[in-house]
Amino acid sequence: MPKIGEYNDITVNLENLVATVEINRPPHNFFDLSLIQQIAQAFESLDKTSDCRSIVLCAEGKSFCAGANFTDGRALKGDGSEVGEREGDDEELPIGHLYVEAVRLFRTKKPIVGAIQGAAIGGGLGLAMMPDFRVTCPEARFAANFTRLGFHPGFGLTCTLTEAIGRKRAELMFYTSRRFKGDEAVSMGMADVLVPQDQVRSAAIELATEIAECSPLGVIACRQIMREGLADRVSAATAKELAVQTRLRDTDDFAEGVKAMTERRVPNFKSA
Amino acid sequence: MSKFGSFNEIGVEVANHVAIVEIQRPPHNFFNIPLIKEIAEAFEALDESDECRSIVLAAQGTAFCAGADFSDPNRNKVQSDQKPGGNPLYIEAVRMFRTSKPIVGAIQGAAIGGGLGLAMMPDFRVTCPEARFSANFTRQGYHPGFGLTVTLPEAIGRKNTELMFYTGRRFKGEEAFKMGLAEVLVPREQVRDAAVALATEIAECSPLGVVACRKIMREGFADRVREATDQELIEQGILRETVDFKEGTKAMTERRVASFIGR
Amino acid sequence: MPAFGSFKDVTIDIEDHVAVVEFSKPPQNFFDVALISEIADAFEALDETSDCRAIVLASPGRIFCAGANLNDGRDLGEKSPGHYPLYEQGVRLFRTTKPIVGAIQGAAIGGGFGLAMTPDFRVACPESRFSANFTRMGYHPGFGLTVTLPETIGRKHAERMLYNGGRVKGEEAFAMGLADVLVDGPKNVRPAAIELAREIAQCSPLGVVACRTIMRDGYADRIAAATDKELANQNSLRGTVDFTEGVEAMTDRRLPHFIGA
Repeated sequence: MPKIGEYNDITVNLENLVATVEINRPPHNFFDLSLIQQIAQAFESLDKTSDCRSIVLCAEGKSFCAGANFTDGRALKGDGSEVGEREGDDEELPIGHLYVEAVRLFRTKKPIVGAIQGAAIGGGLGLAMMPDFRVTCPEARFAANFTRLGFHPGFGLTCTLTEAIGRKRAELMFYTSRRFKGDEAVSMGMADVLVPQDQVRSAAIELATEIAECSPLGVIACRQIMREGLADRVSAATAKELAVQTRLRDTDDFAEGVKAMTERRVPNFKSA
Repeated sequence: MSKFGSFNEIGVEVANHVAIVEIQRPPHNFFNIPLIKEIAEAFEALDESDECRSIVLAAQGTAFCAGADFSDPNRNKVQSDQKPGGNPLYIEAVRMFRTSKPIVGAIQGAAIGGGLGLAMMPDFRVTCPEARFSANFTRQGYHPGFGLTVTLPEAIGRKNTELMFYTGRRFKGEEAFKMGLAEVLVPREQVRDAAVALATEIAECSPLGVVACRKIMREGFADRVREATDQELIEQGILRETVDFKEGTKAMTERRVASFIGR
Repeated sequence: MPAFGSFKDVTIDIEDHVAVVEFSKPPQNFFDVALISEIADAFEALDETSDCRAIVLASPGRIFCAGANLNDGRDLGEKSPGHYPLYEQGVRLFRTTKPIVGAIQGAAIGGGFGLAMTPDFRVACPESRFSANFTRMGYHPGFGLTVTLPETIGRKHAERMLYNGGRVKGEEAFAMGLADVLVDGPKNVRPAAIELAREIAQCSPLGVVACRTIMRDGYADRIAAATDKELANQNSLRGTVDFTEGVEAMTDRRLPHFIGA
């Protein structure tokens, strides 16, 4: 399969007008600033070649993307080292920079199909909700488990999840942190196609191919109308989410939430 | 009597971070201004207490809320004070939309007309096959109110809302669940427990995170409801003067299809 | 009933406060500007009479509406945004006040799909087909579909149909909310549409109209704005090689070979 571009953590292939952008951080594909930048770079390059009409975003390994790459709630810097002393109480989380890069993913032109073959959790769900469509399997897990951790939804999920499944269902996911299986995700509208796990990628490619058979100029023009304002809405959403996340990361409840998750017990929150 | 206030129409209890606010006007729980006011007061008091992280709104008796209390002596006040934003009922109702903690409705029976408006105020609804949901205003020569022109489409989409409004049809619990009017369907005797279970699931998540998230998710919601009630009130005012409204009210009492003339 | 003036391709029949507006251009019910204009005239006339409280939009034959026939050079009017007769007439269909039920007994293709989205509700059967085949032809969706479709079935489903030129049959349409009622067989579609319209007609006409005005606030304007954008895209695509190829491929019943220009 013809490979294009040189990236550290993703592989990009292009065949029959469909590009596959594969995340290579198995088994769980945790994301950070660098990964998001690489994906954005790949999408922007693919925008420029008429050999690509649609894109499949997929991942190697067990999970699609099991969350953000941080240990105690502070985002890691791009090179993987932990953030040191905080400079002030109100210092914006480094994840803020990540959200700015994430919005690039919503500004490119060609339709994207997500191949969600495994867990999409927390910020990983945010990444999974970025493509236009999602193919998944019963074994996949979808969860916006931020509030279970004493934290708050991010990655534009307050916008993208709502727009995909409606506000009621999004609120239910956010307030309960519940995990949904792939078939439930399809019933809710969180994913569009359900197939056996070993067919997820090929089914995603099939849908991307179906789109690629249609006139590229028509599809791009139409997509522009349909997604008008989306990137700006996502940007506005991440700004609000970030403000809350910055405030909450200093709370005892956040420390307790992370601890409880590691210790696999129900957290003992104190509203502080 | 409750540590959260002194109430005549409702009961308020808190256990395991879940508050149960119970409407106590059985069997039909028709609403009037005092009832709505007390619910709003209870919600506001619960907002201030760390003991409560989520709320179940439930009702005693057969119906959840079968509509407006036509015998309410204050009803004349409702009818005569038609200044937009000045309607006492809707002022109290909008207060309920401004509080900060998630609410689960335990809809164990009929939610009709304005009672449906009350049922659509909580974030989520648990219901049962025996429940009935109906926005029957236009069957009566009237117009939807209680913010339903905003709360219904935001829950079930515009198509289904229009279907409910234009036909005045009664939907049973299962249909309601399929349409998205309720998020959980259980046998009738389990409705309250299931509502408490969902409220507990929420209460196990971080209160600060949930409240902050709910604020973002519902941004502008209470204002949209307030604007909606302003508009609905104007339409209701106009329609209340019509011959069709008299006929519609009469037909409803006589349990027959109304004979409208378009005036 | 000639009480409404004389129409060429549209008939109106009123009974029990339900008006059945039937448009007919056999065998496939392609539309032109005149037909859309007549349907709009009919809707506007029915707005003025208290004999009508709800409308059923229907057509005879196997096909609901095959769309605008781009092949035979039928004149669809001068084409600049805000001055495109077809869309100007089309938007009129969204500005009238009484609820409309569409009886979609068969295929609704391209612009015909756009027409099928003008009613508030749709009755369908397994033989119904909703086809947004624009991008399969090197073209772009029109007739306000970039607003009516997502506002009816949600953006996800709408995007999928519009990007891959999808055809959706009756049962699937019902499952995704594209149709509100599903009956067995084309023969049952119109009676079921009339039944739903009657149910609406039993409710107070003033209440229904007032409520519908609130519910659809801004809808027609959003559609008008959308048709301007759709038209701009259609204009720029009509000059492309891909469009010529798309139309030819459709006529020759083969897969198109697009080049992106």
